[in-house]
Amino acid sequence: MKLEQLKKHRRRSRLLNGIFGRNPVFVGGMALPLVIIATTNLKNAAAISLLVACATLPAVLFASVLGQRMPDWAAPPFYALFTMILVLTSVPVLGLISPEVTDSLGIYTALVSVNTMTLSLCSHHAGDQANPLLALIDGVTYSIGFALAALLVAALREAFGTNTIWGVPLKLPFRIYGLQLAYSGFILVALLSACFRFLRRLAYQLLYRHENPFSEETS
Amino acid sequence: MKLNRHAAPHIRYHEDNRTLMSDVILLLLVLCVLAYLYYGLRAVLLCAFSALAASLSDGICTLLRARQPNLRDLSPIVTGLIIALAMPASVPYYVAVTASVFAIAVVKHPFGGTGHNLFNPAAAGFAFVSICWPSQVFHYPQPFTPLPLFGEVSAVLVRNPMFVLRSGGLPSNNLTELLLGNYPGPMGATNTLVVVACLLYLLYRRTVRWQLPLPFLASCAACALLFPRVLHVGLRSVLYELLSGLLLYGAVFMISDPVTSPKRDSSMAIYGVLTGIVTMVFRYFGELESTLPFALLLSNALVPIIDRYNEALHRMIRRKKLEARTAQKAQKA
Repeated sequence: MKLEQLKKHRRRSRLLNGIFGRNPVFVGGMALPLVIIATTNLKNAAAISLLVACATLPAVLFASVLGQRMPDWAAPPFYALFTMILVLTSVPVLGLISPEVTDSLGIYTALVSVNTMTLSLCSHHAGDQANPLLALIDGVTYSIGFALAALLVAALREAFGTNTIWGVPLKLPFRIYGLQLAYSGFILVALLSACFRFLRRLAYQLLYRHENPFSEETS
Repeated sequence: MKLNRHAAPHIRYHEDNRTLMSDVILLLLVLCVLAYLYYGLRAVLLCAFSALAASLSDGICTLLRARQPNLRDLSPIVTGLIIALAMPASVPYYVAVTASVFAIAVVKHPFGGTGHNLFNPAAAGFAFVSICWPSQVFHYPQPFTPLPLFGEVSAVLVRNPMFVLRSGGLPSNNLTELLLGNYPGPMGATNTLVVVACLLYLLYRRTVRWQLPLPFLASCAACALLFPRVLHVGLRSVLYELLSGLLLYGAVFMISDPVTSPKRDSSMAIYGVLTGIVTMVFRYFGELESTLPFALLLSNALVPIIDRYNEALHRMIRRKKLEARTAQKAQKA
């Protein structure tokens, strides 16, 4: 691939990495407990995604602006504490989705404050060459990527596990009760991760062939 | 002089994977015939659909992995038949098909395919459907009850003696019924005499090593004798524990899987005892009736550890013997 085109492609893909190319759940393997255990239905998944977004964006921005002034030993507990405050202030927003979703999520509401995706983004953007704009873009795209993963897993588990979507009954010929249990979450995330990586590799191969068309002159 | 050149190995054992699988399929077909005699054509169709689903899934998964399907590999058929015969004849076809597809597509191929899987596919498939559809999997028709080929089964479905034991009661079946399979239960697991004959045949053909099923059954019997669920009935409690549910059937066809079991004889015995103890613990304290598949999956996860430490132990014993022999020779000299 020509160098200029490669640079252009890298600049473009850098902005959207968090959604597809480096999806935090299916590619990075981050924040897995929130996707595997908590996403038994779409409402839970939407609530978790909203909480993660509300916690990640301000935390990553804060890390990019003030992170380099913090000593290394103090950074992780400080980010976790800061994220916890953000989560606590965002919990009332969940009432927009459903009044009982907070009870349904249980302990996973608190666990959002120590999820690996937020903490790794904070530590990545707290370096000497921190760029708040890039940090914001990463925060948004990674939150969208996490929401995509959580909603996909939740949709499958709710549709085939309880024959409902967002509480609306579906007419399906069978129901697999085991999908509501934790082990199904593990299996689903593993299978979807494999599919995701396959699609990603396919996309890169198609892009390469598009940029480097095969011609008889060069053969 | 003409020399024939062949690739190694030049000395081959007369048995191979195909002959081993053929032996097991032959015995499973005998159980299929018995299931037909007890429950009619529906039992045969169930076995056929399950085996077909397993074979198709295996072919599709092999193609997805960019490999050539091996038509001489009979292991998917074995998996499908074991799953079907572990279920009641009244179970819907989609349950058996789902179990087979899960066994092949989730448990077998993601871990490397034939010969490389970590967990027993048949046990995992059965465990999956027993969690998803417990009411269909653990309710059985009475033998010789006519069952429809398709559609909903309207026959009366009852519970197995395992359920009675779990509830703290004593099953009302006599020894003859338990031996001949004339009681409601899994299609291939109720006829004890035939299952024992299958075990003896497999041991005679050396398809199965005795170090796997016998320590397993012995540890189950010991647990049942020392900690009986039904008190004051002596050895009857042991008989009921061994002859009800999937215990004997699993000992013959599931635990003896050569891929997921340990390699050394002593490791096999340890594995068998461990699986037996875990099975009985799950029976005493678990919620589900059929606990052997779950115990087997747990033991499968521990097989690499059993192999590693047993190898280390044998290496240490060999080294000590060698050192003793060397010291003796030095003394004589």
